[in-house]
Amino acid sequence: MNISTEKFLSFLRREKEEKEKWVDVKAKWVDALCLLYSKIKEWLKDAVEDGLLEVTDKTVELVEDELGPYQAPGIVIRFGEKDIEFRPGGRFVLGARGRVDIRSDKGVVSLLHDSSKIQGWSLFDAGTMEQKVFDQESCLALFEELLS
Amino acid sequence: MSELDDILHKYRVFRDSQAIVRECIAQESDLLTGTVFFSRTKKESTQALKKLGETIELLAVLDIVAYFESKLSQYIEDTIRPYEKAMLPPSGFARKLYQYIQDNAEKWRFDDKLELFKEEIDQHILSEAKKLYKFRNWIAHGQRTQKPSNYTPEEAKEAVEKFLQAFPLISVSNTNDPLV
Repeated sequence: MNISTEKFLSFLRREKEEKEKWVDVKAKWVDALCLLYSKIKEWLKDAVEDGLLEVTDKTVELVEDELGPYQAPGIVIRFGEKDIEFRPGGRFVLGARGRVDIRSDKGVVSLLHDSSKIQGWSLFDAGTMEQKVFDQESCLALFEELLS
Repeated sequence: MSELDDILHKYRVFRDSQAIVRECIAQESDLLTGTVFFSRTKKESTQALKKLGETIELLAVLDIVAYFESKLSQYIEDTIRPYEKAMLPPSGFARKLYQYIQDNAEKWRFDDKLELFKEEIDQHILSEAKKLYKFRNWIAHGQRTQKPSNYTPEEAKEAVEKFLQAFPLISVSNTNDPLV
């Protein structure tokens, strides 16, 4: 095997590794989203069973430089005429490993994944720059605020 | 450094800062923690930065034209002033007439003010100044109509400088009597 073939093979291996790395990052990101929504569905289970809320899955098309075009999951929570949409903003955001925008007629708030401050999901207020853990309590309090 | 250089310098300070922030975004720098870029994607951040850059560029042009307007208006006012004393008879009438001209001179359309220099200024320079003013109006009136010829801050400065250099008396308008 001459030097140029060796160099070429090494290039292909590096490229393959790089691609696999991004595939892995994308899979982990989509898993994190799925896990988030399943938690939210669990927290809202009683309200859904009582017929007060409706939760629908949706798919969002995203394009990121590192990951290329891909489909990411989102959900829409409906209460009467009001909708709360969970829409992934992207895996590659500054200061965190992903962002989901929560859109309603009250505006947009964000959830950050593994931010530099909080591991797991956190609620982020872009106005005050405050972050707090996104758990059942903060989730239900947020929904109460958005659906009022 | 002239006042125009100063305006352009501020704009360049912004542009360099913009380039530094753009690089911080590209490198996902920790310096961005606690800033408006935190939690934004690189694309969102660079777009926001680009949009701000466009706004700042327009504001710099407004600033340059505001300087031009003030220089020209001041020159016109200074030109009118000596006529108050020269008016015959030197009475309340002359004072009121002068006051009337002075008050109304402020309300003259800037295009009309530019026209006053028509015989002294090269037509191309005058036309550039008018086009620049049209662009200034487009910015100031909400950019709702069709965009006229665009001027970067550098081009705006050049157009204003050419006009002022072609009519050097304006640059000494801080003296009270431009006729001297």
